Amino acid sequence: MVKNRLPLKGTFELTGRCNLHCNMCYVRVDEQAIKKSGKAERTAAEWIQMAEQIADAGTITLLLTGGEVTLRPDFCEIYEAIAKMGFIITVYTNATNVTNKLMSVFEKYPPHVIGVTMYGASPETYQKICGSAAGYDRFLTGLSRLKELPSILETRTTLVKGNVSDYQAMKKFVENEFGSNQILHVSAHVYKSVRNGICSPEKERLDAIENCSFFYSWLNNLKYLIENQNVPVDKLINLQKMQTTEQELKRRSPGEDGGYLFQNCGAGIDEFFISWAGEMYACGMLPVGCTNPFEIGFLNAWEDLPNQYPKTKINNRCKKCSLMPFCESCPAYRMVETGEWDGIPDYACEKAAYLKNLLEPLFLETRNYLLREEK
Amino acid sequence: MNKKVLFQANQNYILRKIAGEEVLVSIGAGVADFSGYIKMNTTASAIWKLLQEKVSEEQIIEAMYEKYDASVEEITLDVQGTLKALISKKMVIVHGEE
Repeated sequence: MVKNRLPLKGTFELTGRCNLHCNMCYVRVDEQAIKKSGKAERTAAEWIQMAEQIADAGTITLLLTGGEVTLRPDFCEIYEAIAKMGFIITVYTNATNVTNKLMSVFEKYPPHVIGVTMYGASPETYQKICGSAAGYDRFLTGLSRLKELPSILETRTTLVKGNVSDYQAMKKFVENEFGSNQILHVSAHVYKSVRNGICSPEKERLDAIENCSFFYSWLNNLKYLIENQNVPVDKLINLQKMQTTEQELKRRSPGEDGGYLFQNCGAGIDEFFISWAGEMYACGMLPVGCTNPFEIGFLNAWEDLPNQYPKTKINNRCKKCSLMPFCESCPAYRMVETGEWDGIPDYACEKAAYLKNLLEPLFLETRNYLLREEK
Repeated sequence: MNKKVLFQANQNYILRKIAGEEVLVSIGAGVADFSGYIKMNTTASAIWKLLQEKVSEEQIIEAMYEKYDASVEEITLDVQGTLKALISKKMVIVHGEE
């Protein structure tokens, strides 16, 4: 039994459908996939009732996401009812479907946070990534409307092969729209499809090395400078960087054999995810392991959730692997990528090898520097 | 404070119980002023509940005195301090003489 669990943070995936057909989406379903799954989207009344249940259970933050939530004709009805219940609400949207009706309800009940995803910096990139050149202009129009709200607005993107060349332009766009203090929130975590998703995101994601090179470019710079001794280590590596480096090394420790499966995050401990079909998972990345809150009630489903997952069992090969401290695999990631809770995802291995090559000398230099300072 | 002035909770704030603690969460137009939640101690929670109707400072003090074992002076200070804090954050609305 896992102790001290509280469902503080929730996600409602109101729909898996989307009006954009992004090739790297791991959740998108279409009508055909929904029909084939034998499942159905939950009704507005069901979602509103579920929100009342989670409010009673003590959930404080609630993310409404999809697919594209605004595609639901009853989204405004669902949203307005939930907005009155006292959650800290975040809405994720691609901003291409910002109607007068939506603005009316958002003006009355602004979300605390709106996460707007952009997919590129031109109609051409939107065509390549989302299958809709017109989507770019619709995004611009929608964003300009949402900006009028008092909500905290975050612009987000996922970088893949088809739009990585737009990164600088997207960054510039955010700076121009919102000022230099605003950042573009970038994700390079692209997973295989889950829960009847119809895309093949693994074909679109950056190669492992390209992914690391991009997201750890600052580490590359440090390594270059250290190796070439252009700048002394003690000038380069301040305490903050040292802490960041240590965090990178510890971020995915394997946990204890035989313990709760998700030991290094809040999945199923203080957070839950309810899919478009009404299934509760410990995290939104998961393809399997769920309870049915709409059938048995939220609290019963929450209580039973840890029982859907096996105890931690670390792969013997991974236990002995020198790359383990640099590996970003978690059980959910292993399951999505390999179909096994303790599977070995090749993509993660490649990234870990790259990071070890990058971080280990840096960490050792920093450790040596600090030891010298102590003497 | 003027005793004839009435106070009322801004309906753009909802009292919630989270992990055993009471918090005030902004909704609606409240999000423009304060996006998030604040923890309420026992005194503030009790006063908040009284503020669901229009009440005077005197009425709040009287209700709190009946509920809690403390002197009138202590309660008055607590009530005035809480009202001042909540008014400054626009969580309480001040109504004129009635």
